[in-house]
Amino acid sequence: MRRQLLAKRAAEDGTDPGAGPIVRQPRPTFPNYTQIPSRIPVRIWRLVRLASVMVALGIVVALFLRPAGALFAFWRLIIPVVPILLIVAPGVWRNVCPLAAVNQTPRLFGKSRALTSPKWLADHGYVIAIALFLVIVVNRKVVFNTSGPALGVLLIVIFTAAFIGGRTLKGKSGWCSLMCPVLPIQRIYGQTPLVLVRNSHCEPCVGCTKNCYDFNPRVAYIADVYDEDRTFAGYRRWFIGAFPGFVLAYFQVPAHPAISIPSLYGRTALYTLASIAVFITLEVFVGPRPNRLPPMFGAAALAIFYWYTARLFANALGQVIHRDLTGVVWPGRTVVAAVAVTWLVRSMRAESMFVEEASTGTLPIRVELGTTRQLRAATESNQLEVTFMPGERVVAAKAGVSLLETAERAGLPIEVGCRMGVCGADPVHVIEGGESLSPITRDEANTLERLGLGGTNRMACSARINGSCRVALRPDESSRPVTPVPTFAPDSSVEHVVVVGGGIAAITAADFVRRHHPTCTIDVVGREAHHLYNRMGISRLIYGRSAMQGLYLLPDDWFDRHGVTPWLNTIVAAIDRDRREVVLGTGQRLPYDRLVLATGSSSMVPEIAGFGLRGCFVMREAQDAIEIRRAAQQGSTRHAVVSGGGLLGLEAAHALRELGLEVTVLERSDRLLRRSLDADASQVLQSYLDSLGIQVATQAEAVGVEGDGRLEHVVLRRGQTMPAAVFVVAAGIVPNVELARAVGIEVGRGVVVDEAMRTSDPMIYAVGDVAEVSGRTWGLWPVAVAQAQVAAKNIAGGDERYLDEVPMTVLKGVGLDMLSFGSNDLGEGDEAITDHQISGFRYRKVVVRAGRVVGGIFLGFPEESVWARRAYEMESDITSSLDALRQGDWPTSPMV
Amino acid sequence: MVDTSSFFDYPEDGGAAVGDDEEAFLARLSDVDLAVLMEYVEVRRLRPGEVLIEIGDVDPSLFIVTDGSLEVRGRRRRREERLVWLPIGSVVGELTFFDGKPRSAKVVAVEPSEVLRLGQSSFERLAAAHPSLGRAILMDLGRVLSGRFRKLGAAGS
Repeated sequence: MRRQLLAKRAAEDGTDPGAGPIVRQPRPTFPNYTQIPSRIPVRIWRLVRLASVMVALGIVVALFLRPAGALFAFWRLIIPVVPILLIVAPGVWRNVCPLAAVNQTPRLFGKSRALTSPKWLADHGYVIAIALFLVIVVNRKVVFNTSGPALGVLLIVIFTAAFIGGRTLKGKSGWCSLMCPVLPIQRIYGQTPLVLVRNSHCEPCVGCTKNCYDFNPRVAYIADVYDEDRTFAGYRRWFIGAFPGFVLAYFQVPAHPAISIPSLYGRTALYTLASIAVFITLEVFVGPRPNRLPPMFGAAALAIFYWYTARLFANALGQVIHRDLTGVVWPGRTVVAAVAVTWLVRSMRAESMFVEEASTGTLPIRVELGTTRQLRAATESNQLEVTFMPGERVVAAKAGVSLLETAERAGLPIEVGCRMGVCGADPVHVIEGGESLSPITRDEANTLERLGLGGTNRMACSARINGSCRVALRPDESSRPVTPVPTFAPDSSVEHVVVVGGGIAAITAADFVRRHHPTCTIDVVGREAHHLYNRMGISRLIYGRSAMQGLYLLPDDWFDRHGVTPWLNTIVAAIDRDRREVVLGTGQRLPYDRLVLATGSSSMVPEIAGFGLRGCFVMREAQDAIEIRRAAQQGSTRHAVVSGGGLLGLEAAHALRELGLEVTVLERSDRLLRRSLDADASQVLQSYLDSLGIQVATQAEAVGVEGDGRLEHVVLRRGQTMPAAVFVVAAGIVPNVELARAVGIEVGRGVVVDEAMRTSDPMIYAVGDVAEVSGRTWGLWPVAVAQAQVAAKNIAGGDERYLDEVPMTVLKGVGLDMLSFGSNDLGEGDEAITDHQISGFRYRKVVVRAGRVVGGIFLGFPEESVWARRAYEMESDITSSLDALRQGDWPTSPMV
Repeated sequence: MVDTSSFFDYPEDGGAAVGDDEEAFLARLSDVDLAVLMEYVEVRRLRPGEVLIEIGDVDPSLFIVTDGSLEVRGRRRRREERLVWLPIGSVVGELTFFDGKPRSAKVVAVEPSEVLRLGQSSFERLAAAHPSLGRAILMDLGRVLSGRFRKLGAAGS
């Protein structure tokens, strides 16, 4: 299935010049059999093989019935031709050899047991082949040259053995490539075939033997003698060393019965050993190349063989055709000598090319075979593919995972924000397959609209994959969103709206006022020098090298297109409630009919003696993070201390750790993220941080800092000191209420508002971190966005209420998927289903009330967390899944 | 050092008969470990000729070939050709994975292929969350690399 996918894509894309860099493939020096053209159809080869088996059978029968003629044909006419055939076109021999045909018959008919040869056989089978060869050849002069029945029996035994081998072992490992007595000869002379013929037996290759000749004929023998297993290579070298002496012995030592059998064996052994001695001696002089001498010895053996055989063959052939052929003996010898020299030169050249191709310096490390199969099987389940542009990068994806996570996992450059579709950090353009993504939620639609993106753009964090698609990491800015028709008539008495603040609450308020009120003026007055940026991404400013790049969340022309006037780096000095004017720090005055306070919050700094020393920071704004990075680079020690184990504190700690600092987090309470996690989950999180090298000290508090001109130590409550070059306080936030308080608006912890987000002055609204609804301030983006939308609609003439609910908490900045939502304190009748896995730092919990998920905590378990979050948001009845849940069988079905 | 395996890249089922896997990396993962590993890797699919690694890239990732084959390409005799063949099961990119230095060679898919990419930061997260698996992977990689150095030493002496 996957192969088809891959092949299909190759067919589609392979010829597309614009689709990424493509390199043309040159022809290999040592082609394997798939790269060798097939000139003769397999059908023809089969017919030829049938013929060759018939001839062989005929000879065997004739050896018994008319032994003289058969012996003559076999030894004097057929055998002499074999070596020269092996030199010129060994592939022909491999394809037509009747023994091979018999050996491969069971496989052809699907009757082979196809076992893998045992290791001893795979390693030492060549010894059997060599032994068979030597024994058979030396005994020619004892019995096989003269006795037809003896040779007949020998051939029957060999054919039977080849057949049994083929019935038992897979591929050609049952005979041809492991034990056949002709194999050693064939390997020597076949190493540089003049004519390359493709193997016609093995379709498909089953990889039965090491360095298979049929697989890669030009390199098989060299690979053998170069083999790292010195014993394996040794057998080959021993045989080639012995071979010329053995051949010479065959022609020089008289046959039995002229001499006794022991004498025959002894003398043959002597020749053979002398040959080996010469080989070993020469080896000392020719240097370390393993295949320098073998071709020379092969050529020598060939020359010896044909020196004698030329005459014998000419005589034999002369007898057959009744002519005297002694005249062609010398020309024949000359031709053979020329062939031998050509073969020798080619073989030596092949070795040089081999050394060049095979010398790698670095071999690839291999994954163990079983593991490779496991990994392959695991990837099979990822049938979906996302193609990321630019670069046409194809990534396998899991159903239910968001485009953002898929891109992050692939290491692609993508910005990350709230992960809820609210902030607008990660817009992407879905080029193809958009219909297979999860539908657009309201939050996401609003964000896209704020970004001025419509058409097929999506927020990557919110688009979950359920089919293959093609996605560009940059949004398609040519597509404009369809502006929704306002559901109420704008309040014409509202002509001027001023928004104080520059964060997400301020911009969302301005955005939604404009959506519902096309004519009023809107001024947005922000203290910071930056346009709206991804505040959740600022920890990246600490460890990343790209500063503010990618953190901005509005297109450049946003203010122009929306008729909003931005005031950057501008302080609001006062509000003149009587004249309904905002007084700027510059002295300018802006009239308003409605005013929105979105002044946000500041970091709370508890009593810390000496705070403000160089090296002490809070982390709230981009500028803070930029300065932390600077200080971390200039500091004298590599230690950092973060005070506060909340979301921001942990992200700061993680960012400093990424920068290579030793980090300690001080948490006042007894555990981390008290508001979002239960005790067990806090414990899992703490173990995880510990494993990252982030120390967490609970019930610890900084009371002072010390240093001469710059920070050197942080002093803890019990008098203990910690060395630190950087000290970051992330102890929580305080709403910026000064402006409201100064003009007598009701202020509690934040600016007190009603459900319409109105303050005690009905012309003035407060939204975001600064607003206090039902006694609570959250300091979270999704809350700010929801509140700003409510306020904006009310300003424009609508009637909306904000319903306070416990928002979700997402923490991913520390490299751990963490999600917490709803209510995690158990009420009466509530059931908590938990699964606690210290190994792997995973934890999952849902709180179920009356068959519905009302809260959840997830560390890891991304798929289950998606299910639970959806069930919580949709208020689905999960009664039917409860039993499974209790048994630890959690649903992962991600799409709703 | 000489590598002949590149000439005999038998189809997948063949390997067992011929390869000795003593030097192999990542032997026998439990199902749990496998599932964990899969959580931290990216599965990437390549067209024939598609470049996986370009000289000078600094992305510190390690790749495992799980389908098809790739090759390391470089200049030799003034033309670009294959330096190393990377059949199924090959690991590539381990040097930059360790030292973070720019890539020194180009790696190209020979046929439709699939690779797993394990980024350095993914690995760090894996090792943080699953220390024993992280340690096992590192030790195993270290074992294979030291085996290689031993061999280089033996070849040199």
